[in-house]
Amino acid sequence: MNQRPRLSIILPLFVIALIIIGGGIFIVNQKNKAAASPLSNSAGNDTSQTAITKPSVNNGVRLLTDQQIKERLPNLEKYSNNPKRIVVMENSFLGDVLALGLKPVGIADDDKPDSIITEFTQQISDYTSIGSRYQPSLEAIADLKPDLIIADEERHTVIAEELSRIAPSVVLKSRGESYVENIQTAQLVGHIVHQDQKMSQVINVHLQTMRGLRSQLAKTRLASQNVQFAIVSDKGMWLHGPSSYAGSLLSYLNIQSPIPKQMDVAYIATSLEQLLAADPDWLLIGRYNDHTLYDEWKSSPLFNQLTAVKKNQVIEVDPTYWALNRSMQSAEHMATELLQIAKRKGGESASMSSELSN
Amino acid sequence: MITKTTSSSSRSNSLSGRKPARRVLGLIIVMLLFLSVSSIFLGASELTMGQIWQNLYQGFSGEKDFIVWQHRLPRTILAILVGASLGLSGSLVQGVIRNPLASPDLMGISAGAGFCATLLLVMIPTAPTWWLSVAASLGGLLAFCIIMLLAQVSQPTPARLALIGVAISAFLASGINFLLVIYPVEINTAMIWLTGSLWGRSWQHIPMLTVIFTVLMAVSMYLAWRLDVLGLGEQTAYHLGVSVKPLEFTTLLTAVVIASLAVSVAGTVSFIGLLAPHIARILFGHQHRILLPASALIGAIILVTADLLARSLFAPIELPAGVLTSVIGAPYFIFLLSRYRGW
Repeated sequence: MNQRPRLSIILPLFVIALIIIGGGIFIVNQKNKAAASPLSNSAGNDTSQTAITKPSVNNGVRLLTDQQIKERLPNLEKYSNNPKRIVVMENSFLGDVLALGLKPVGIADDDKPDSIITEFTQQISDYTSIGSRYQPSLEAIADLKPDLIIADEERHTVIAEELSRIAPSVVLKSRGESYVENIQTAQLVGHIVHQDQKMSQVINVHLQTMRGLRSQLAKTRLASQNVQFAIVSDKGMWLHGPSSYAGSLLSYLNIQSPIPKQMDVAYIATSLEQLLAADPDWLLIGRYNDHTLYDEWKSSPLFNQLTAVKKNQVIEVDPTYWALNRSMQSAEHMATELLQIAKRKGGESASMSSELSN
Repeated sequence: MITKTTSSSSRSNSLSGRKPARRVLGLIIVMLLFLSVSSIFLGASELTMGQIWQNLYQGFSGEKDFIVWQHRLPRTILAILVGASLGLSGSLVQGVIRNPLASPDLMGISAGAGFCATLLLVMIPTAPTWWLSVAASLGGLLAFCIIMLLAQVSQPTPARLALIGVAISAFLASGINFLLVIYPVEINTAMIWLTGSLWGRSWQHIPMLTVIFTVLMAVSMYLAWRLDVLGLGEQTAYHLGVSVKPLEFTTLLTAVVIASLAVSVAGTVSFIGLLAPHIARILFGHQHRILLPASALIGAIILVTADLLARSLFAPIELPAGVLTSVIGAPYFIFLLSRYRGW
């Protein structure tokens, strides 16, 4: 009888000890990683320098060579020469397909047509929603009788086999991709639809536009300050880190990030404290809901300590461009928007600071 | 009504009790068949009856063969198998523990299976599919052993045993969440483990589940009368010649393995293991010979219905089937808790 109460105490204690030890090891690991990251952060600029010396680099963007493309997609013969009924399972593929003048018949748009940017909706007159990106309806896809399906590596690898039973399908990186990876994916999409030439032209034109925008941005005040993009919803805030699309685009535009480059997670769930620790000069936020957790933070005393809040440099941007429709078209829009922000808000905050000094 | 009374009066008295049970069982089988057929006929794609019949007739060579043969049919069969497995597991666990709240998800089996399956996916992403079943079974067994150990120590009342189960399940579910945050595996696999869904599941999962379910169903039927005797109390059962410990062990092992396999295919579809045996008890009483197949059938009905609704309610948007079973199951669980006072 004596043993019963003892065991009932020991077991929960054992579990708690397990959690503490596990958590401790995890935190120490994370700390070690963080300690290592400032070094690599300072070396971050080197990558672009070494990249420029490489022959396959165009304008600071490391493109895939023909050889690499062939290695990634070896069985080109199974894909139709001139696909007419394409299903794209992420908006990011939409831009690539439209750039080649092809019009997809099915899109995984979460049943929210508004989530597609106007640059794309202008070009597509009619399409069928195939459901959410998380669990797209296989029936709806099969119903469209597609001749090519482009799916997302992170979300749709589980159903890759089913998809290939419906039509020739390819799984490419979309969720969590960087700016460069997005362009590499465009190369792969061009290859799949047998239009390598046209796609490389599209990419060249895009990179020229981007180079122009980049050199214009270099002359603005944004060049010397750091900028962070974040998504806010009713569930929380996610910083789009340096490996994310928005983050890597900013670094391509030579705009600094307030968080270490070592983060390999694209989207970082963030609390107000963590945001304060990152403390960006400029905070760009993309809203998913009308009322967000970010709005609740505004009443916290910590909120007013944010540099971006103090300098009135928190700016709302359209998340459909900055997060949902990763594409060359969005990148150009984002860079142009940054230019406008640098000019417009630059003047405003100058007047603000003069007011303060008075 | 008249025909019913005349037909039953023509039989002997001993049979008249069993007759309605048989009829209800027949009715349930018909209902399952009806639901399965409608599950093949309904969905996001608008196919006419004629087209579907044609496809079923033509087999794999049909024009729309994907929708009928590769999607709706395997999904319906899987829903039947997974639902039946969970229902059977629930009634076995209840038969041994003699606790109306005992079920695979409340006894931590589902969460344990889900946790170990996720652990395997995270550590060895290239592992073959059957490893997943083994890992799930081990996880289910482990979680169940922990709960039974705690129960041995504290001798809880039925409601407290359920609480222990809920606590361990919550602990393991947070473990699943933790693993998914630290090692981002594919985001959809995570959804399936956590909420239970038949999305993206196909023929490849069916053979293993069919074979093991058939074997374990047979084992359960073999155990059925012993479980009836066990229902009279452990002492009585022992004196009537049933070796209690081996019986309990075999039954629980069967229950854990079958539930874990179901979880390894469809994730933690909640509350079927609780609901199905209860409905079966209301309809058929406590004879395991009927109770076991009946709860399997009812489990199958629940999951087929939930999956059918999940994929056609807001088509083409799909909901996880687990969400729908929770919508029915959670209020029933609360009802059960409030019905028996003094636990």
